[in-house]
Amino acid sequence: MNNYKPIAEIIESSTKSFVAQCYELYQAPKLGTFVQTRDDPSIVGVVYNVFTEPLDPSRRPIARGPFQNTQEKLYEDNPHLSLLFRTEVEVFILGYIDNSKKYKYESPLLPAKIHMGVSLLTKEEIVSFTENINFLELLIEGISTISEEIFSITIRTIASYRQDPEQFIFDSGKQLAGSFSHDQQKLILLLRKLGRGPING
Amino acid sequence: MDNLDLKQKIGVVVGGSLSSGLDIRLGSDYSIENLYVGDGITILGREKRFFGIISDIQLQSSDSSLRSFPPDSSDIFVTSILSGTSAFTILKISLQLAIPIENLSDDFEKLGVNESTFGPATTIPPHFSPVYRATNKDYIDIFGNEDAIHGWIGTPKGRSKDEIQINLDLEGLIKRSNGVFGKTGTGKTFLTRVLLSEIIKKDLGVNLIFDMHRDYSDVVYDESGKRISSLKQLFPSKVEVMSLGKSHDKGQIRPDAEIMISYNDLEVQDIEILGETLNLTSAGLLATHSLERFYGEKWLAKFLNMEPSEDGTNTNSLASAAKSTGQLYTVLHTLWRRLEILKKFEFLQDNPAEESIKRIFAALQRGKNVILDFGTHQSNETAYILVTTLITRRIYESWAEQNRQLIITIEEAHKFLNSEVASQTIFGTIAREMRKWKVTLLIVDQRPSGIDPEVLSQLGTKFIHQLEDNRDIDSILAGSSRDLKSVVSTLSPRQQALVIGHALPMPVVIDVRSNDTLTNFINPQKTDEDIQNIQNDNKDIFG
Repeated sequence: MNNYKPIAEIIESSTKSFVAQCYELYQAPKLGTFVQTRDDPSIVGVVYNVFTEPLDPSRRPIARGPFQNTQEKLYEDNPHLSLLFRTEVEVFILGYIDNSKKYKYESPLLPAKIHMGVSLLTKEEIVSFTENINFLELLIEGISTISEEIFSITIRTIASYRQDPEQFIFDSGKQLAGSFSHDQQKLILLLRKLGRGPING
Repeated sequence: MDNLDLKQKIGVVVGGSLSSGLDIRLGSDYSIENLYVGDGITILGREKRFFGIISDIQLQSSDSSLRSFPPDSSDIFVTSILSGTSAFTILKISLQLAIPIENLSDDFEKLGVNESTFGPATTIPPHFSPVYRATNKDYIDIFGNEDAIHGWIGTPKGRSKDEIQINLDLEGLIKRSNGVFGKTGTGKTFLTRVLLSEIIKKDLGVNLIFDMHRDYSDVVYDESGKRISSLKQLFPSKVEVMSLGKSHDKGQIRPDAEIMISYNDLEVQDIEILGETLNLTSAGLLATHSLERFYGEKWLAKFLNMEPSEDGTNTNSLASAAKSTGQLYTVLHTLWRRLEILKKFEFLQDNPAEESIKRIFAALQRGKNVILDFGTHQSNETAYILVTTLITRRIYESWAEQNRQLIITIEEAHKFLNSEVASQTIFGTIAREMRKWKVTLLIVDQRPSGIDPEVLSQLGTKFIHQLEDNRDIDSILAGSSRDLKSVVSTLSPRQQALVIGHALPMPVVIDVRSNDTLTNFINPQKTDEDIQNIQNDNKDIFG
């Protein structure tokens, strides 16, 4: 368990993924960010969807018109607006930390609890988690859920934290090739996405 | 098996069969350009270790869409990931040997390298068995070291000659007939010289060499201009050079004797083998039988001394011969004209001074190797075929009681062993009879497709240099070695050969030992008398 501040709270939970509401509106971790639950065992996952929706799904926002000056002014002048929406993230589960503090690249057997806090992984923790190439197993399985674009963004983001980003992308590509022998054209598209290189910042 | 950890694994077994070769999937990080057809590999099965050679290399892909829509070659990232994963290399391996694993130990001398340790591969390793490139130690384990009966002939293709030597079982080699093949200029003579030199050096047998182009009796120069000693210079006391007739051009050597042949030595079958060379008609060949029947042993001398006249009253005319033998005049006339060439040979005489054939036989009996140098008759086909056949026949007929192994070396072997004549000539007989009378052949030829297939199948060991003609490659590999076709067609054009047969535990592609490494290193078991003889001979020759 780390001492990092939680930045979101789980509002939907399954053994494959969970949804967490961010404490700050619009202050969400970016796509491809690694997060973990503040639980025991701590579940590790990657953000694959970020969205903002109204608290009351039956009350959809109505456009206010082009007369306002700036976005900030709009929210300043109408503070109630901040209370009407929430920003959420969908997280795809990649594994968990077991009793002996080792990373397990498998699905947890039970989901995380609702209202459990979620915090970010540090750079060092991400590098450590992705040291073993097997972390890709669940990620590759989940491409149909998270989409090819997110897969690519995730790998490229991790690469930027590592000592040898190009080698990491290359190794991930090799692992991918092994799993996609049945669909070469899809593989080539995926590889082209990966070939864009590490994402910085 | 600690030495295996040091080896680099190159791939795993993924399919194939014993008859058509095993399929090895090359590992994704091993470069295909480090391997080539003919290279040796080992496979670690569960109970046996297998040895084989790469017989083919193929590129395949897991998905056919890669063939229709390959990635852009300038997209290095994509192509480098796909290469080795979705697009990969398959090696085809021709399996040769298998050893049970518990027999392997680092102390190989305890086992000895012999046939009871190694067996031909009669089964195959299971799926996914790891595959390694053969190490220097593997080669040494399989091919052994040089000793009294094993001689060094070359280095495996692509390996350093300071690290591995391929040693041939010379004793086993000479017990059967063998063949050296290859296109012109590929180095057949170089390899033959190595074999003969090793046999002579180790006293394993006695050689009778019909040297058509003066390759063995005189000094030659290799492509780099290096001087290669003749067999006579290497082994002065063990080699006798006899030249044919009074040759005026002797090169750098003084022959020990001149061969003279009497007309009476020639028999009908000797003329028959010249049928194609002299362009004799079949009627003419039949006529020779009648001539021999009528005129007896001295028929040929008599026939050649006749006059080509149609005058039936002249008892020495062809016409009267025609009447006596019941042949047509025209047939005899044509035959007479075609056989006239024999009169031009100075070595062929009615009553020669010495019995040369007896002399050759005596030398061989004493253990001396005999080289027949064709002197001015170099490249004269008729003389070569005639003399070689005659002398071989006589020596073979008399060799029955001998204990020594006699090896007869002939070049242009397809002239003596083509399908038409193979069943009738002495060479066909020797090739078929194998070990019966301790006489075997060493044939050198550039057209194996011109040799009777049955003779080819009787050869114990074949030394195959580069061949281009598909028919030649097919005939030389007929039988169990069909899968080695690519190996033969990828041989280097100079002094590289695929050696396959009884004298080796498994086939191997070798870079032939350079001829300037041939030595006359004296066998330590030589007697003082032998050494004295050698010194005397050296003095005679070199002063």
